[in-house]
This record gives sequence, structure tokens and C-alpha cells, in this order.
Amino acid sequence: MLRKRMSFAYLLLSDIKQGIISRIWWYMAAMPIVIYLILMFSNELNGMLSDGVTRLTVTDIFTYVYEGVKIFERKEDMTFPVMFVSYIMVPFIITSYYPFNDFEERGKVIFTRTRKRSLWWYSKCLWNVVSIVTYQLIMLITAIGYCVMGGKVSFEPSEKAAVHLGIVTMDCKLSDIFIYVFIIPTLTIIALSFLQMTISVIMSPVYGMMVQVVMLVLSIFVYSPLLPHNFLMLRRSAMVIDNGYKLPVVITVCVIISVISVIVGRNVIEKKDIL
Amino acid sequence: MYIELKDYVKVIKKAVILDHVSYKFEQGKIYGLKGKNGSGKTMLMRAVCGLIKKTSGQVIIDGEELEKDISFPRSVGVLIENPAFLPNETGFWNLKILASLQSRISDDDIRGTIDRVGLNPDDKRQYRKYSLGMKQRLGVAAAIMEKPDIILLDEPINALDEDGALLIRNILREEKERGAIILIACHDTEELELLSDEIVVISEGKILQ
Repeated sequence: MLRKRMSFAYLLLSDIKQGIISRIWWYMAAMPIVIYLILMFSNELNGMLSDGVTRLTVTDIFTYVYEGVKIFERKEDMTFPVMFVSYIMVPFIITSYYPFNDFEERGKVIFTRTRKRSLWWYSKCLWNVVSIVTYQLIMLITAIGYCVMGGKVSFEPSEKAAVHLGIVTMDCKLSDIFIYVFIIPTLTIIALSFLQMTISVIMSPVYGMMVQVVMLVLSIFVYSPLLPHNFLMLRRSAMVIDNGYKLPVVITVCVIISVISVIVGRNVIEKKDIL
Repeated sequence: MYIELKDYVKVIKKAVILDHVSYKFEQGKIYGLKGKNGSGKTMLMRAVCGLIKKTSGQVIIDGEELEKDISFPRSVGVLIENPAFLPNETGFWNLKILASLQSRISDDDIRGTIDRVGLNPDDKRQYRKYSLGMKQRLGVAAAIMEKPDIILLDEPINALDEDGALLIRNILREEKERGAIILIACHDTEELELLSDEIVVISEGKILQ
């Protein structure tokens, strides 16, 4: 048992080193994305030449990152949010190939030593969580860096930004805003990443990515908890609209997706030939 | 210690890769697997080390059946197809990472094995800068470093010069003397005959007696 725990610990350390630290430049893609969005949002709120510039806070930046689009209604015109779809896919692209490649390339020397395929899988699951949290942290650090340059780091949403999004700040506690802006997107991306990883090992990373893209595009047009990408759009949250998604629903859906993905993935790995 | 295949069948996408294979491999012997490309040599090795799941039949290792009593052999070292190492680490660190999964050997043991296969344990070069021959030697080192009971080597002499080939041959003889069961797949008939105590001919997934 001790030996299995040590094997697992070394596997996880190896995954973090090879899968994240060695590839940290991929995760740094979060920085230009956040900087670009800061510029876009500042421009939207303040215009290029206006006085009384509202300095964005950390929460403002993240509300813009995860703003998304309103619930689609046929009678209204809607411009397809190409930019939103593009940068939401980035963490899924970053985590797409590593588990599959590791299985195909190093699987034979790892499995014959750990003698338990599930250890490899659980290590990848934890790696997945650490990967997404790392990505989110880099985004957060970039946002904080911007605020530091402005002379003030604040997590309070600014009035102007809240009005832009349609958040009624008087009715929202800061803790609720924190949950919707930081926690829910992270949980959702982790759950979807588990799903993608499972599809990748069953079929290939290409299919994992395809499923992500299809679900994301569908979620633009369909508001449903069965399409969890909806949880990455604050404009569809209970903070903004009466019938918006709430934390209990998000947790339920994310936990179900995660548990099923982990179990199915483990069962597939137990039976899969390493060729 | 023995490995016994009993009526082992492996089918992949309706193609019979291993066709009712029955054979017993015994301790302290080197078995040379001889056959054309696609004959089933590598698949046989994969079957023995638990990397593929059987369609039917049994693989019994020292009384324990794979996929029933155990998932993988208790002590096995493999070099199948390309050695799978991390390109940005040194040879030593690559072996250390693998060795840490079982924690059976020390850093000195690893260094000793690297030296044994004719590489420099203090070489600071990353694996991706190794020549083909060096990569092959490191692959052999990974397979033998923990002194496993079963050693499976697919084309171990590939890309090696004459000195390298001689070195590997001597190492394998020493491992045989230690009591390991060694299976080698090799295209070079002369090399197989030099190395092996017994040659097993495989054709179209069958062992030709």
C-alpha cells in the first residue's frame, strides 16, 4: 500500500512537471487573453477620450472574461461571439493532448512498474485539476498585475462594470459575485476538461476537442443545464436574470459530469490495449 | 519462475494477431523470437507483460494468471519499440523518474546501470540530443536496472555499433546467469543465434514448432 502511494505521488509529480511546468508557456496564453480583454472592456466602458476613467477591478475583468452572451431568442439578432468561443476553448486546447500522448508513449514503461493502470488515470485526473487551476491563477495574477499598475487592487465590482453587465449589485453579496465570477467558471472548466480527457482516451484528442466545440456552440443558442458551457456565461446567471443558473445546479451538473467521466475513463484505461 | 502461454488468442479489429499460442518460457534462458514483420513477435511480448488484453486463453506467470490474479507481471523490464523517455531530461533523470515508481533501487544502482550499458551517468545532455545508439542503450538500461525476473527486448541491438552489440550481448548473458527469463525479438538471424538458448519462430501469429 505504501509503495502504491509512493508510485502515485511520483506519477503525479512527474505529470505536474512534464504536463504543466515544462509546458508553462502554453498556460501563459492566459496573459495576452486577459490583457486584450482588459483593453477591450476599458474601451467599452470609458471610450478612448472620455474623462473620469473607471479603473477596472479584478472582479470587473473576470466578469468581462466570462460575460458570454444573453440567452438566445429567435426574434432578436445576435452576432455570434467568435472571440468568446475562441478564448473559452484555450484551456481545453492546452489540456487536450498530454494524457493521450503520455498513454501512447510512456504507458508501457509506467504501467509495468506501477502495475496498476488506475493509478495512472487518477494521476491524470488530478493533473487536470491542477492544470485548470494553474490557468485560472495565471489569469488572476494578470488581472491583479493590471490593478497593481493602476495603483489599486480591488475585488469590489465597479458600478459602471456592474451596470454594463446588468448585475444588480445591491442585491448581490460580494461572496455571491465571487462564487459566480471565480468559482463557477473554474468548476465548470474542470468538469468539462474531465469529459474531454475521457473522450480523448476512448477515441482521440481530436474527438475530445470536437465535442467541446459542438457543446460550446450549441450552448450559445440553447440555454440548458445539460450544456454546461452555459455556466461560463455570466449573462445567463441568476445574478443577472431571474431564470439564470444557480450554484446548486452548477455543482450538481459538474459533479455528475466529473464522476461519470472519471469512472468511465478508468474503466476504459483498465481494458485498453497499449499498442 | 516461468511464463506459460496457454492457447492464447488476440484479435484486433477482426484480424487474428496471436493465434492459439501455447509455449512455456523458463528461468535462466534467453529466447529469441524470430519472424517477419507483422508475424506477432512484439504482440507476444505485449501479451506477456500485460499491455494487451487477451481475446481468449491464458498467460500464467509463476502460477499467477494475468488478467485474473495479477494485471501485470510482478517483476518485468521492457523495451518494446521506441524507448519512451522524456526529451528534456538527462538520461540519469529519465531512469530516476522510472525507478521512483517502484523505489527498489538507489541512485548508485541507476548510475551503475547507465555505466554498464556504455553511457556516461554524468552526461548533462538532454535525451533529445542523444544519438539513436545512445537512446537504444538507455532503453536497455531502463529494462534491466531493477534486475527484473522477466526481460522483454524488442530489437535491442538496433542502431548499435559492433562494440555496443557485443556489450548488450554480454549484459544479457549476465542477466540470464542471474536467472531472468529473457525474450528478444530480432530480425538478425545471426544475432539471434549468437544470443539465444532457444529460437522461437513465429509466423502469422502462430508459433511454429
